[in-house]
Amino acid sequence: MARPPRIWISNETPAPGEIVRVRAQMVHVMESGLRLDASGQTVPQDILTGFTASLGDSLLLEWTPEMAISQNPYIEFTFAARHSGRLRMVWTDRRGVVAQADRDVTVG
Amino acid sequence: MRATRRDMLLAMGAGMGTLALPQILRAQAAAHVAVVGGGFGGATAARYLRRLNPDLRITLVEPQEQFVTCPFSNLYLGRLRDWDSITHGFDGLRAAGIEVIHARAEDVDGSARSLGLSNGARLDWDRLVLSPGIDFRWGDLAGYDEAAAELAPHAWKAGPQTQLLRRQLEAMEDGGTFVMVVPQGAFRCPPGPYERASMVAHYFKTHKPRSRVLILDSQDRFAKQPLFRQGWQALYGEMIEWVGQSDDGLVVEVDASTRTALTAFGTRHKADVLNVIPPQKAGLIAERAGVTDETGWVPVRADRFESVHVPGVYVLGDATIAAPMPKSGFCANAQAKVAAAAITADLAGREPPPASFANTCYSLVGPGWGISVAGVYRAEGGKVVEVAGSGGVSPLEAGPEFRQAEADHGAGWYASICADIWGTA
Repeated sequence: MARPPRIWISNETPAPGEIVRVRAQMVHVMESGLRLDASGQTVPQDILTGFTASLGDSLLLEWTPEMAISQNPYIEFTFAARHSGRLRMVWTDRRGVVAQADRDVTVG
Repeated sequence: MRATRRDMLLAMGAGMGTLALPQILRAQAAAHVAVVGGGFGGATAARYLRRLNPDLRITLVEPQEQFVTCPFSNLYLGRLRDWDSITHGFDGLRAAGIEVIHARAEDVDGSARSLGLSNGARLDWDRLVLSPGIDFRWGDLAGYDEAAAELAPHAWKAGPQTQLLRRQLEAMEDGGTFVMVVPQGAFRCPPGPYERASMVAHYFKTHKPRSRVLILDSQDRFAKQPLFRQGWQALYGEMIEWVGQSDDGLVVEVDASTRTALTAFGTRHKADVLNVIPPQKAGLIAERAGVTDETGWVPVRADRFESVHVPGVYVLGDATIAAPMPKSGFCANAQAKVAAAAITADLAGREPPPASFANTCYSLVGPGWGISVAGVYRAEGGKVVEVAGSGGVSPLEAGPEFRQAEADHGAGWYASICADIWGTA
């Protein structure tokens, strides 16, 4: 793995119910499987197939990146902070987990 | 069905018998085409309509008495061009028999076929050409509005903003940082930001050699990237730093008063001169004419550049959705010629001739160091497509003579297209 995902979170200690904004970027080639290389051979597909974000046991977001998603997928989302917990973001491909990033969110 | 002037005349002609025929022909020939926008698209359309059918009545509506071109305005920033050399008047178009009105187009009525102007006048038209260029999505980038642009200029419409940016560069002390913000979404002149960075670096190299250029980009790739980077390295060493989106180049907020740009992942960049190129959309009159779609740009029929929404309204240039054609002055000029031919044919009751377009974007990396990208396009199945095997970019492996020749070709292109459009040198 080249480098860990880049994460930004608007507030790690939000007030109850506060809207928290998260930005996350994963370095990935996102090879579509449609390109030909210089010798005319198909470049094998290599894409992320899943992304989930959860806060503790609560699933916040599930996303299925498709082959048309560009390199280094960037995602931005918001959630309402109703309870404290570990914000966990997981990127997967067909073989399993590619990367994971955690941030603790404390609702005060 | 609405009774057009032609229907009326035909009805009168039928009533009056064949004797009235010459009159009908003259009335048809004297159709009125109104053109909004005196830039690369509009001024070309006006001139070529006139050339294709000298009997047409043509009115060009443009608020400014002099048009300053975005192409070559970066060279003004680099002190390689003076202001007058990128400024063009409309006397040449007047001399060609085109009526030029300096007013702002305020509203379009597509069913009554009329155009309202800021001077209170209303123009009736048989065909309307809109070449409104771009407007900015003020507020899309947090902290950047029209007031902020007076502190952190965009200079993405050539004019007072360009002069303001040059004054700021001249006032900056040696050792300062010029920061440029490149927007998300489609924008006018894809290689423009990188040519601007080159020209600012040239100015710094010759006047303020301890200064630096920082480009914060919302994209991970840019037009002619390998050629620019090669030229930057050769001419300016480490002076220009480019930060792509994946390296936290996406700017989400600016503070014009402190000249600070804040990135998506929380990095603050403090600038001595901050140049923010804002997110863009079609010029406002396109929205008012009802020809834009949800993207803010204008879908057109590729074979004639007529609006898909409002028949009889033709839209040109940066305002349109014409990809793979880029938003360039050269493209606007080519589209205008296609539209002029289509309008002339349509008014004569004929099908438009096949549409073909060409484009070249020259960029100057430094004095005597030119690069280019070119393409040939045609209309196919309602879309613009690039002709396979056409165009391409300058070779990466080329010597100084080749770069010099392309710099000369760029200057030659500018002189000839300005002569073609405004009749100016």
